[in-house]
This record gives sequence, structure tokens and C-alpha cells, in this order.
Amino acid sequence: MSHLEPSRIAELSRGQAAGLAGDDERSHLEGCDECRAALRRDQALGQALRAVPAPMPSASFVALAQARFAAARRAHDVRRRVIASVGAAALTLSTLLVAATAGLVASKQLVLFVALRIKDAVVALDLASTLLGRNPIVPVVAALVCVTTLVLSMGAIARLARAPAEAK
Amino acid sequence: MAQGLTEQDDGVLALRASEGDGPAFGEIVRRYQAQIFRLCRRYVGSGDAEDIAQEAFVKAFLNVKRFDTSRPLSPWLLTIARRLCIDRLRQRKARPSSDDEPEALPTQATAEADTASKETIVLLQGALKELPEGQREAVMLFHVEELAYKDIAAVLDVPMGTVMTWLHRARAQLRQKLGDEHPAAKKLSMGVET
Repeated sequence: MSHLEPSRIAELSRGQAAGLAGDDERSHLEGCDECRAALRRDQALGQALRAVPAPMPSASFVALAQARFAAARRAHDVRRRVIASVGAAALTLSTLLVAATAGLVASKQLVLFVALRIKDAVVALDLASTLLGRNPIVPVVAALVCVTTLVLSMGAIARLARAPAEAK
Repeated sequence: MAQGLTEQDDGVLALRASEGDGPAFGEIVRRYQAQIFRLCRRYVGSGDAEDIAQEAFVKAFLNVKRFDTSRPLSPWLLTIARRLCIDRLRQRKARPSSDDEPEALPTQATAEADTASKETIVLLQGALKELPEGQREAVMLFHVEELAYKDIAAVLDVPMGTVMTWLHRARAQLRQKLGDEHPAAKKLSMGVET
């Protein structure tokens, strides 16, 4: 067997942490002064490094970390709820505006259209809230889509409102 | 309850912590605080180390869904802590803690300190400071934190080959500074059963 790799010798120098040497490695180490010396050097270095003073964190470290974690989780939950609420509000509003726009175009079908769009919004919100737990980006995307729809709807309403005046 | 927690494995505790279980989170912090704190201290010095170490735990468990529970927890925590340290260093536009004054030796000697003389330790501290940051961190993660090569590569965000090269160079330089015949080396016997 050829000499052990230096990286393997370094692993073996940590003893139990890296697992004991296999039979081949063990018998090689028994017969190879060079590898044994390298192993001893690595062990000596590791031992000296572990003896370098390692200061510990303060006694309040765990309690402070727990307090920070609790506060961060609360803030995180609030953010998620706000995003979900904004998404839901924007979706509902844009649906109503789309309905109103459509109503201006075809006022006879307004009631039916609004009813259908509200039903769609409820389904979309239900889907978004289901996905929320898996991927927080979903309500953000939903909110962006709704805001875009809202802006487009408002533009359409403005154009429709201007059209009769310009015709006069 | 606390006794039960200490027996739980990291994966279970991580899952519970991600659901907002404070005591489970506390148990994980208790297990890894020293390791994370040591890394932070090496990077940013004693002033900010605790703050960043706590932030690392908080950040880790707010994003615990990204953690692969089949992998060990400590490299993941160390990776987050290291990134936070680098961010802090960028904010300060200062150099890492290698410029700090050396720590005073602890009054209570560790088992290793019995073997390696105080003289060797002081010599080694000086030699560590002279190493480039990557080499110093690799050697500490390998010999002190006992991380695997691939985990060190993940923590330091470099290929595994680079880790091996850094370790090889660092060991050579440390040995050169200490001399192969330093007292600790003489007292050591083979650590592998033959």
C-alpha cells in the first residue's frame, strides 16, 4: 500500500471524530514510520490548537437569543399578515373595479358580472392563503397582480368617463 | 421538559424551533453557542461577536425551511454566521479581529492546555494571526470544530480543493513557526488504534 494521503492522515489525527482507520490503513500505519510520524505531527498540532484559549459567550447569551428570536418571529408574522391583507384587499378592490368598468360597458349584465368576479376573488384568496404557508412570495405576487389590475381598471374607467364628454 | 429537549436530535429541535417553540430554539443555541461565538470572535473581535452570533441563530431559524435536515446543523449555522460577520466587516470597513490584542490565557487550564505548554499556546496564537484569513479559518474549523472537508468548503464558500490546499499550507506554516519538536508534540502518542 502506498503512503496515506496527507488529508486522510489529518482526518485520522482527529481520532474518533473522523472514524478509526480501516484495516488497510491500520496495517500501513503499523509498518510505515513516515506516515506514523505525519500522524503524530498532525495530532500534536490539533491538540495545541484546541488548547488555544477559546472564550465563551456570556451567561445571558441563550436568554438574549431567545428574546430576539421571539421578537423577530412576531415581526415576521405581522409582516406576513400585512402582506396577505394587502393582497386580499387589492384583489377585492380590483375585482370590484373590473366589475364597475364592465358595468359601464354593459350595464345590463353588471349585477351578474360583479357576483361572478366576487366568487372568483374568494377562490383566488382561498388558493393564496393555502399557498401562503408554503411560499410567502405568493401573496406578494398576488398583490402585485391586483395592483396592476387596479391601475389598468382605473385607466379604463377614466377613458370611458372622458369618452361621452369628448363626444359632446 | 428541558431534560427531554436535551435528548432530542438537531433535526427535531430545528423543526420545533421553526414553528416558534422557544425552548427548542434555546436548546439549539445552547448546543452551538460556543462554536458560533468562536467563529464570530475570530472574524469581528470580541465587541460584536455576541451580537452577530445571536443574529445568526435568529436568522437561521426564521429561514429554517431552507435547511436540509439530512445535513448536520453546525455547518449551516456557521455559514450564516460567517456571512453576517463579513457584512459587519464591510459595514465597518475594518479588518478582522486579527489586529485585536491576544486573549489572556484562561485561569482554568483545559485538558489540552496541560499537554501543550503556555509557551506553545502563545507561540501558536501569534502564528495563527500571521496566517491569511482563509487558512486560519480552515485550520480552526478542521482541528478545533472538527468539521468535514466538504462542510468547511460550504462554510467558507470555496471549493474543497481550496480547503485542502489552505489546510496544507496552514499546517506547514504553523509547524514551521512552532517547530516540529515543540513540547506538545513530544508528549503525544499515537491517537489511532493499531
